[in-house]
Amino acid sequence: MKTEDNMRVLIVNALVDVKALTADAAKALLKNDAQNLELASLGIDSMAVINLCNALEEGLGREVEIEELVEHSTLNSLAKHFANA
Amino acid sequence: MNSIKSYELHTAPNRRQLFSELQPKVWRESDIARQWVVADPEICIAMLRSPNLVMPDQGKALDLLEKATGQSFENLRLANRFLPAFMEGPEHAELRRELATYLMSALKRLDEILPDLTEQHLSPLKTKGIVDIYNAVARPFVCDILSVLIGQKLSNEILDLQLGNIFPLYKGPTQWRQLNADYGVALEFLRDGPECDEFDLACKLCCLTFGVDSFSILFVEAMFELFESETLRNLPIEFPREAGVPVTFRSVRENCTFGEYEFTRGDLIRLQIQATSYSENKSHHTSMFGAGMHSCVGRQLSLKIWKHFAEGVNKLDLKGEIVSRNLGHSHFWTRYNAVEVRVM
Repeated sequence: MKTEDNMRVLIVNALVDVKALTADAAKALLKNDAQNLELASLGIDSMAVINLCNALEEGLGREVEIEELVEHSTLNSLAKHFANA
Repeated sequence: MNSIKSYELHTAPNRRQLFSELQPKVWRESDIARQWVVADPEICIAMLRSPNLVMPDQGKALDLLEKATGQSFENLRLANRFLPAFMEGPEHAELRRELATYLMSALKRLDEILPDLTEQHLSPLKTKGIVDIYNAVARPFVCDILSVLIGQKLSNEILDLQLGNIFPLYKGPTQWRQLNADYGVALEFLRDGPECDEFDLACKLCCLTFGVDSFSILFVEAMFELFESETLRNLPIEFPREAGVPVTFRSVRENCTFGEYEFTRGDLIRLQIQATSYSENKSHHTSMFGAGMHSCVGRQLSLKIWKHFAEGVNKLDLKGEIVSRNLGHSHFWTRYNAVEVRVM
């Protein structure tokens, strides 16, 4: 089932996959549901964004457009968007 | 930051007014994508001419995708090698020269038949009633023009490939896969045609990649504006009113400043080239074909075709109104499903 919590895990795992987050940082983030994350604060470059879309698309099983990351630019808002989309 | 999304700008209604009212005309739209939007004609032209800005590195993106998915994107790799837009340095200059020669030779063939072709394809507008100016006029006209340029009759399947989707860097994996498959179909079609060397194959692929969308936009937008605007209805149409390529992309190679804006290495820039065609400064209009080393090689050819088209339309003394405009989905091209007008 697509819940916001599931989607948070999926996004954080994708960020680990593309090396935007360390495994330890990911664990800390997932322990605290209230902790939000501004995706831009990770300082990833355009190639990492392409990788991130790829990882998210594999996890979600549907097409992910860059505009979804642009319009939902924090971990929680993106998780909510994926849960409701 | 403007409230309108960048991917809605190129097809927004009343674009001339919208672009003149945008404040600011340059803005950073996304921190995560590090994407800027430039809708200021002066800065747009300066950026197109700047050596500090380059085409985004699609080859590197393909490396990542192949590594992540384990799939090959061989058709897109070939397209990257065949399209001057993705090349830099001496190889780029050589392919541009080849393409210019190819288009000059094609123009000679086209020149002989353009008057008849124009008259034939504008003929639906001679009859009063509802006319779909995309499907009944522009699309078959574009099909015939490209068939002459390429030397093979284009089918609807080839016209529908949407090869122009190659230009933006940001595409999801599904879109990259679809595009790779589409380029496979296009390359197979061209290889099944008259025998040609690799340079000619590259030139034909360029025509298919750029021609379908840009010629459609050129014709449809001119006719649309003619039917839409009371003030223009009885005026002759002269220079194209809308850039055939409304949007292009650049990546920042070295930190640089344009106007009051500072750009950092690695930033991605969405250039709304169409802003040059809406500018009140007429000297900007010629840059609707781009500027700098990646400006449109087909400019001369396009203007020749435009001349015949405009003469044909002006002769018709059209009167009428817009009935409906149904656009297809694209974040950077204007794609049409149907555009209906009532000829009176």
